Amino acid sequence: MGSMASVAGAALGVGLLPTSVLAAKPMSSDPKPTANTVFDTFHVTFFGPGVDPSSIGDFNGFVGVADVQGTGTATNPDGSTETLLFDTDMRFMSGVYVGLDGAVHKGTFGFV
Amino acid sequence: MDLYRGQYDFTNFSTQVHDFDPGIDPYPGGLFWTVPKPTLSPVELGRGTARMSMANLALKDYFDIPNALFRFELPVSVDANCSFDVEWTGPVASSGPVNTPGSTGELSLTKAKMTWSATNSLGFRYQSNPSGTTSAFAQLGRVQNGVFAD
Repeated sequence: MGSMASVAGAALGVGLLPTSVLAAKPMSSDPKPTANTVFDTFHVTFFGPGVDPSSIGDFNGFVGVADVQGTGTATNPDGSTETLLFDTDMRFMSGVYVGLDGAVHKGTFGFV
Repeated sequence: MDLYRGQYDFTNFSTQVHDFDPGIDPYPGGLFWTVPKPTLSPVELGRGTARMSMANLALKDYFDIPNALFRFELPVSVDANCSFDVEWTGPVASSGPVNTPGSTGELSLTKAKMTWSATNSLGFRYQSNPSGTTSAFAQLGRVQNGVFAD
């Protein structure tokens, strides 16, 4: 009851806020990148035994990593075909996370 | 998802000819190669099984990993599209704790297989062969990081 009242109050209050205030506050439920970095720039980890593979931060949930290799058929723009090798780094994260808006959300994300 | 001609070169990527990924948003310090809402089957940690798939995912072809990271080729990328089906098949080989600073949890080594296809706006198409794939590394687990790791 209390939380519903807060939601209703917040919804009513939004109309009273200056547009500049609304624009300045990040409202996105998008996840934040992991705090871990490679090359001190990119927010990701190399996978490996014992390594948290999540690409999102403030996260609690299931993760999976799949590095699968194989072959396949490529068709080039000129119509020629050839066999190319593939290698993948596929991951998922499914659980709860703190979004850019500071709220806790539930979601599933893929790393492709 | 990366394609190589003839042989793998994970050191200089000299044989890599395609790199399909969704990019880094915002570049370079934002979410890395991450997309919302793949279809995910129930994760069975004890059995080492799970399944993730997506169809008609819009992404980019950066041609090779160094260019995907540092964006020095012109064009940097072209529009692309992919579909994939990844299956973690088990069995669990071993389990152990997460040792990344700032993270907790437990991870298990398992096996995986995958089929996928992709196209790019230049007219290139690729269809993986579903047989004969190698599970080079596969892992499932539960992790907590950031505020949840305290």
